Order: sequence, then C-alpha cells, then structure tokens
Amino acid sequence: MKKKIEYTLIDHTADYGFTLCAESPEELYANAALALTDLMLGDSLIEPRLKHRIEVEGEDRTDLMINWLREILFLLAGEGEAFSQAEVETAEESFLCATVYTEAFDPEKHEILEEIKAVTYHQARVEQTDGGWECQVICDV
Amino acid sequence: MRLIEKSPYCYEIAQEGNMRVPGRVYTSKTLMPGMEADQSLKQVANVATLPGIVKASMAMPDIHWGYGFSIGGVAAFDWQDGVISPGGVGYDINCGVRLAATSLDMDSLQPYLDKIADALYQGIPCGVGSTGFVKLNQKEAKKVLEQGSRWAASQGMGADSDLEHTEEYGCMDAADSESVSERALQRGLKQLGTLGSGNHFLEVGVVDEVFDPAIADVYGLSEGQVTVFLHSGSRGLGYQVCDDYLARMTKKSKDLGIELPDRQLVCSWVNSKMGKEYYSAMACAANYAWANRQILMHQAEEVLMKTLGMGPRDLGMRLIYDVCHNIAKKETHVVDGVSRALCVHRKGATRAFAPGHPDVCSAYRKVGQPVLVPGDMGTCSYVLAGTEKAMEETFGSTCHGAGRVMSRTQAKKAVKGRSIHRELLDKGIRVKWTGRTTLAEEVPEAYKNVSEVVEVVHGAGISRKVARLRPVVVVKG
Repeated sequence: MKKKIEYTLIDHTADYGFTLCAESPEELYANAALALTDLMLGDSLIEPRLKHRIEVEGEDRTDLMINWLREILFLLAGEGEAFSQAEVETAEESFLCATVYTEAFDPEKHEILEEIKAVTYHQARVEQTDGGWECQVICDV
Repeated sequence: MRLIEKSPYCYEIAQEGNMRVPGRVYTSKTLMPGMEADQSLKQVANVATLPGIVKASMAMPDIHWGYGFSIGGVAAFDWQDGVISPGGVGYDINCGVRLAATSLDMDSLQPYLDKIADALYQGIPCGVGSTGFVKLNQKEAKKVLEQGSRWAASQGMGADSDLEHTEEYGCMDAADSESVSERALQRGLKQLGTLGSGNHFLEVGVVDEVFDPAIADVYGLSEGQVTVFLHSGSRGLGYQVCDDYLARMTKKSKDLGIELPDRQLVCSWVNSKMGKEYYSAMACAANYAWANRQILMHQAEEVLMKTLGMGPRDLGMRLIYDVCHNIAKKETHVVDGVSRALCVHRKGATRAFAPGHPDVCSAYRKVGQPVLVPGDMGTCSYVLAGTEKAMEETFGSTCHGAGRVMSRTQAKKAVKGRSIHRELLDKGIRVKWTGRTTLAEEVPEAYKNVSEVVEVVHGAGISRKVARLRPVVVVKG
C-alpha cells in the first residue's frame, strides 16, 4: 500500500520540486522516493507486488539522493513499474542499499499526473538539521 | 548584479566575480520585470563563469528560470579550450518544431475542422506513456540514432525535400550509437512516433498575416493558407542521454578544477574523451528527435488525406522547415575578426542563420534560414528569418517561443472553475488533449505574449518577421 507522505511542493516556472524532512537519512531517502512518486502518480494505489534490491553510490549525500531518485524514476520510465515503497537499510555518505517494492504500471489502475523527465542537481541538497534530516529536489517536467 | 541598457532591446549584465565574460540579455521594458522576478538573470551570470566561454552568456527574450542554465539561453565555448555541458542543452535533446504548408485554404477547410481535430487526436499517439506505431528492435533503433530523418525517409515516411528542409538535413554526423546507454535505448524503443505531453503539440493553423511577402514567397507561405505545426523532441531517450552524462560528468567534475556555481552546470572539456562521447550521444538523441518529428508529420499527412478524402497532390503538404531548440553544435563563427570553431549551446533558443550562409539549404539561402517560433495554444505563432546581425551578435541565434511566466501550480490555480477548451472554441480553436491537467497547465496566460517576444528579436535585428500563424486545431498530450 502506498504510504502518504508529507512534503512541501516548490513552485518553479519550468519544474516541480519538493522539500521534506525525516528523522534519519534512511527515512529521508525512502520518503523522497514516495514524494517523487506522489508528484508523478498522485493518489494512484500502488501495491507492493514486485521486489528489487537496489544499491546506489554517490559523490556525497546530495549526489546519492539524485542517483537514488534516478533509479526510482527509471523503474517507471524504463521498466514500466510504479514505485510502492522502500525499505532503506543503509544510507551512508556515499552509499545506499534498499529493498524496493513496485507494481507493474497499469493504465487502468494508475494515472500519470506529471511526466517527470529527470531529477536535477539544480538547487539539490541533503542536510542534517537540528531535528533530523532535510532534502530539496527539483525535477524537470 | 548590474544591468546596463545598451540599446532599447539589449541589456548587458556587467562582468563581475568569477564571470569570464559579461551577460547579454535581449528583452524590452515590458518583458524585463518578469525576468527580474525569477532567477534567470543570475543563471545567465552563472553560465558566464564556465571555462572557454566566448563573447557573452546570452539570453533571448523568452528566457525563464531553468535548472542550471536558464531556458532561452545561448552560450558558445571554444572548441579547443572550452566545455560542453549536458545541462546547457537540456533533457529534451533536440526538442524542436517543424512547419508544413498545404495547398488548402482555410475557407475550404472550415466545415471539416471538427472531423480533423478528432482524427488527428485519434491518429497521433500523444500523452504520457503513449507508444508509437513504429516497432523497433535494437539494431533498427541504432540506425535511427545514426541516420535521423534519413531513416524515416528510408521507411517511406519522408522525401528528399523533407531532409533538405530540416536543420542539419535531419542528421548530425557525429552520432555513434555506442555512446548511448542501454537504458536510453530501452526508453526510446517504444516511443518513436509519439508526440509526448506538456507543451508538445500538433496544430492545424492558417497563415494569418504576412509581414515580408518576398521572403514568405520563397518559403512558400501566403495569407489564408492552411499549415501544420508540430512540437516534439527526443522523448525518454533524450532525457536518459542527458541524465547519464550528467551523472558521469559529476563523477569527474573535480578534474575541471573549477568551482561550479550550480551542480547542474557540470561539464567536460569539449575535446576530452567524455566531452566527445557526450557530443556523440547527444547527436544520437538529436537524430532520434528528427526521425520522430518526420514520422509524426508523415502520420499527420496520412490522417489529413484520409479525413478529407484526398490524395497527396491535392493536399500538397510540404515541409517548410524543422528547427531544434535544445542542442549543442560545432559551428564556425567570426569573433573579433577571427574565424573560430565553437561549441554553440542553444537551450530554448533557435538557430537563425543569415542569407548566404552555406549551412542554409539552397532553397532558402538567398533569404536566410526560416525560424519557427510557437506561441501558446490560444494565440499565434511566427515564422521569422535569420539575419546577418544574428551572425554578428548571437552566434546566429534567436528566441524559441513564448516562455513560461507561471509555474504549473500557479496556472492550475488561475484557471480554477474555467472551461479552457470552451474559451478556446469561442476563439475558433478546437483543442483535444490527453492529460487531466494539460489544458490548465498550458493555459495561454501561463506564457509570455509571443508577439512581444518576437518584437524584441525583430527590433534588435537578430531575426526578421515573415509571417504570423493562427491555430484552429490543437492536439496536446
């Protein structure tokens, strides 16, 4: 079942973006994938029917976030699978591993609200804050 | 940031900080406030910090805030000592437009417009997730990447005159399909012959006014004539090529030895292995886009013939020109009296080569390259011609469209409770669309007034107004 996630939408002339907060890096990366999916698929019900193991590397936490979201985006754009949820086991400075659950995209069941072309580095950030972790991501639509 | 008025249509961003050259912005007093409201001018200044940039970091009047590079930007880098940047081209590599004329006049077509709107909507695959009617295997897909429009013509979906009337003749020779990832191919295989979504469109229109009859005559345009206008790009294949190389260049970004003001500006030396590989992959995506537009135009011709019950001779559909909006190209330009090989990035900008330029096809060489500038779906579009002043000032470049002023969220709020398709129909424009939010996001007021944008490039002399087109049928994804 798709978990509803709280994020702040960034209004950008060309693009859509979001900021969100989490208590841990693992939660931050898992929730960012949910936010990206929410932008693309809105309230579509996506069930965890298929399972993938995903490992991603990055130059730093921000690059890691972009590379992670690239994988989530490719699942839909390249493999035709909608993201349901992720169990992020490790989210270190430059390495992430997660179990990702998806469902084959079904136009009868799922509606694409926005075609997201890519997740960009523009104004992207992942930061530790007083209360936990925060990220900002801008997508090209 | 200090802006200096150089002429009524041209402002300079003074060189300061790490900027290697000044910025140059083509705009007017009417359009300037919109530019100042977002971060696009800051982005023009950021591009000016990149190594090897020549003359100025430029912005066309349709500029708006992009990611890294602004949209509506032109930047040329020395081919030997400069950089190439995937972000300076954009994700939708060779997103572009093509315009075809027909032998029909609007008076005789009027009774059939509803039927045409329905038929084009049914016959042209559009919208997110749509798949094309062209089935490709890997081997054939690689041919598309290396041959561009030529591949479509070889499949019976185009003529020699179509290739002649396409920028670069519909194929960049630098394309090597080995430089394109499996992921990019995977995304591209199913999408050839699809329009896409968002601002991509297919329009049937009419030549509403001719400003320069001599040039219009050479282009084959006359008042009252029915036209077909198409906007699409390289689809998922292009997005993936851009993304792949952004990721690869980010890994190597420290090798450049400069601090990037925005990570999305990541780049490589044009002459490095990475730079060459990106140029080759980008050329593949550009060729895919040309093949895509060629196929879509062929499909539109088939649909129109079937709907109107006429043959190709009576319809008389012929390609006026096809231009790209997102590209980097090796071009030779005279800078301070010296001829130099440059890597000209146009991101949301159009090539506008002057009369006599050898890269303008022979049919138009005497009057200059046609420039096609689409407006929003409820207003009008323009055909311009390239000028010598564009060669002198902007590396032969001009604007590409109206340019957004509202975010998608703002646009959706602005139209709440309104029936956009009814408003358009009242103006004589039949619109068909796929996406639930497409019409709201693409509402005319979400864009700058394209006529004001065109007045700037005409007034600045970097293009010449030739004709204005009015849409009557619009199909959007």
